[in-house]
Amino acid sequence: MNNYSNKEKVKGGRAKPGFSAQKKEVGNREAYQALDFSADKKNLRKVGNSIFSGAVGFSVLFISVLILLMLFSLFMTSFPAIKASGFSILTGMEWHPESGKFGGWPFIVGTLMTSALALLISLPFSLAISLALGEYYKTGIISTIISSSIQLLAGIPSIIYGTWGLFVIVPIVQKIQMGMADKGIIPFGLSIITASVVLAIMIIPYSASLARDVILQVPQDLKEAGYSLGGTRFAVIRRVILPYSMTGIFAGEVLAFGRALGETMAVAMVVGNLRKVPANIFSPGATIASVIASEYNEASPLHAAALTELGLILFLITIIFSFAGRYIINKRSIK
Amino acid sequence: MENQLLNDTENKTADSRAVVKIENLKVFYDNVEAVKGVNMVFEDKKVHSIIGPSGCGKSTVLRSLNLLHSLTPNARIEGSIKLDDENILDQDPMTIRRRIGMVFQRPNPFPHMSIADNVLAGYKMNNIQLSKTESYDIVEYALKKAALWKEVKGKLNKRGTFLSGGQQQRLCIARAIAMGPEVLLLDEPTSALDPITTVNIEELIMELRESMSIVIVTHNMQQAARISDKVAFMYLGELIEYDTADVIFSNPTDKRTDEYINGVFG
Amino acid sequence: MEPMYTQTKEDNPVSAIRERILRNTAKNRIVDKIFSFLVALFSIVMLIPLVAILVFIAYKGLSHIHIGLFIHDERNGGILNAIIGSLMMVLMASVIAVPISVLTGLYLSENKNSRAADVVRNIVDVLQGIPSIILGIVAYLWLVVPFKSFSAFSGSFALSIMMMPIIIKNTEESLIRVPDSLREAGYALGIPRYLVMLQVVIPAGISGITTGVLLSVSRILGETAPLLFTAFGSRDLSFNLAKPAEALPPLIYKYATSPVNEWIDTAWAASFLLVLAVLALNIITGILTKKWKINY
Repeated sequence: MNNYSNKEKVKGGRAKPGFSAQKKEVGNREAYQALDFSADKKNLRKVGNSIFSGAVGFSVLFISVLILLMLFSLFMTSFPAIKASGFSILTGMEWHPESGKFGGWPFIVGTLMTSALALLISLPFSLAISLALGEYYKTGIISTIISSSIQLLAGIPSIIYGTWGLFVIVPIVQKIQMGMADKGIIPFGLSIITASVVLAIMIIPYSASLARDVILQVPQDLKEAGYSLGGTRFAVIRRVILPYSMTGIFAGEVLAFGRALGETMAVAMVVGNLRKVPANIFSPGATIASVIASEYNEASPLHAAALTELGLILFLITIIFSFAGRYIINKRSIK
Repeated sequence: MENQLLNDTENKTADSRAVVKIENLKVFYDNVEAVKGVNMVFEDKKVHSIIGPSGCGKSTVLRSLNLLHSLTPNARIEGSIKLDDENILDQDPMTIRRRIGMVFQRPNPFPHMSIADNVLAGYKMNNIQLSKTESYDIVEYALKKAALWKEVKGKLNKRGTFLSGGQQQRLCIARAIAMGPEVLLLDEPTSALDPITTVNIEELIMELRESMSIVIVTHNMQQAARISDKVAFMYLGELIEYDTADVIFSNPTDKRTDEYINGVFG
Repeated sequence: MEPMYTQTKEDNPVSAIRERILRNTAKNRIVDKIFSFLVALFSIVMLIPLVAILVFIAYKGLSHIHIGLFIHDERNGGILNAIIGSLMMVLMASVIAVPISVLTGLYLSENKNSRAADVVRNIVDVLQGIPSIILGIVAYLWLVVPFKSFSAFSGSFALSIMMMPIIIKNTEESLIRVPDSLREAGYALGIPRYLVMLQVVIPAGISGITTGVLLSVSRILGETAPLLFTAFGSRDLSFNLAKPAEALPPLIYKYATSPVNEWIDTAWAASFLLVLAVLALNIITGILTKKWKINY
């Protein structure tokens, strides 16, 4: 009944989960009884402890089964769509719910394209910021300015980025597109590249702070060894700091990519939500998250099932990326 | 040359050449004076030890010889350090550091580089182009000088971090001498190593002494006695006494030196 | 330069290329300068969007904000229903998330090294990575479909799942730092374990827990995606958790993407309010974190 085990610090080495605290309590309990407390209080203690353990156990169990339940329910809900069209949702080129065509390929491409482009755009910025905070300006006013700006950027809600993107970035992209009219590009302003720019701004704080943490971990004596051989700061960064922190930075980018994949509102507002494989980065497109956001409410049962299936795919992809990122980080820290 | 403090020692070793002259060196961290006006001369083909209790400023002196103090934003330096009669404090640190090599307390080969690349790290760091044969010759030369060649010649492309602690430290010495420094600085190079490895490193230092000036900071008085030509005793940021090892260990002038050597404090 | 360095008379491959080793380092230095300039440049360029967003929102928002927004619901040209809806849903989400998360955090901190705790930690990490739109679908499937109605409660549920990982992690971090001696003192007094936990351990870590709760609130306050098919939205002022409700972020979405100019203006005003609230929460959290740094 007591699935919540307390554990006390055991000297040296790993402690087994057990009931050591309770054993100790038994000792205390004798003293307690000696003080002649009423049986009521003893019962209260028992009941209190088990209610408490029950509550803790319930909470942990709830958290633990939540993801399984989610996966299960997403799978069950998307089952009609899986049954109707097999796994063509992964490969089908055409998404036309009105005629029962549920090919998710355009959205998969759109999702990967926007996220990959966003990562590419953000990379120089997040690297520069992480180097600025982790190496050039570790303390002082510049460090404070940059790091608090990063924190502010990270705190701004996605919907605000979307609104800003819609009224500021979209017109800019539109102007650029007008210059490319001869290439058959229609100046919508809403496009893959618009979404990527907005996404890039959104993930910079995340990937920059992950990279900064990694760069701060480079041992001082390795950097000094680099300088002692006559290297400039750039040489030390290039030959010591970056190679040393490469896997960690890479893991951070993987995690940032995973985060970009699932970003919904900002993308939905500026990507154009066109259900077609984007011809190039200046054409409108849609991502898995944006198509769910824009179509789920008005979907027929089969359409909803297909959207849920897309959601399930997105869920699995993000789990994979978040595990991969963390796996690399853990492996690295063991070394 | 007219420096009165140094006359004494210079007479005794008239045949040797002074490579580094430290004159009235003061180092401050945030206005705390860590080194208080130190004068020292390091000669070619000699081993100089700096001893003293923790926090006496001995490592600070050593690090300022490699101009590493400039990495600490709140450090300030006064006085002069002359290498071949030119004040290195006025010169490009990148060039000076190639002429004055440094070996650190903890063996710190670059973990992401192979053994050969570690030896050549200074060249890569400074974009010095080398032909294949030149690279190979330098690796062989430096590793031989560091008495590591026999142990690693078959695995030059393996990572340096798989070596034992003593081997790693010798790799770091090879990395420093691959740049052909005139002065080699060693900051407690054996404090992280076991006694047998320590003896090996000490033997190596005695061999390196044949071709350069060596300055070593050490906690270990026996070590200083074993390998040094000259010993400096520092206390609370001041140079108390600087003389030949014989004088320092058998007949020190200053009471504090005597007490430190005999373990009264430290 | 005088060949002062030729002191190493022995013929070795290093002294053979001594000239090259000591050659002018000007090029390296210029590359170094350029690189540090680039680092500074890219870092500063990053400030542009931040300033642009804040200034833009403040400018547009302030010029369209008026008292009517706060006293009328949408039917009468205000956004009171969304403000109330946001507050109501955040409050409800906290009611669901806080106890579960604090107890889970307590479990993790009391079982630092157990394998089960490791599994739970991984699950919490995965939970944190789930796209919020997925949580919207799940809440829809679990709470909207069975009750055949969109509801503020289902929105709160989706939001509460977003809060959990943040609170759990903060709780664990702060409770791990509560020294064992405090716990032992409690036991030595004969206090039952649940009371030691509730009256000693959790209060000792209350600052970290509060930080976690505030952080998670500032996070969900701006969330839109989980509410689209759960709370759904409503133009009327409502205090009923079982009925659809509006919140600020979906209202901004609805109005900003509309073709009506007055609605877009309202979207700016609402955006300004939302940014103000979220940033204020973040800043308060930051200050509290600094102030509450207790070292045992």
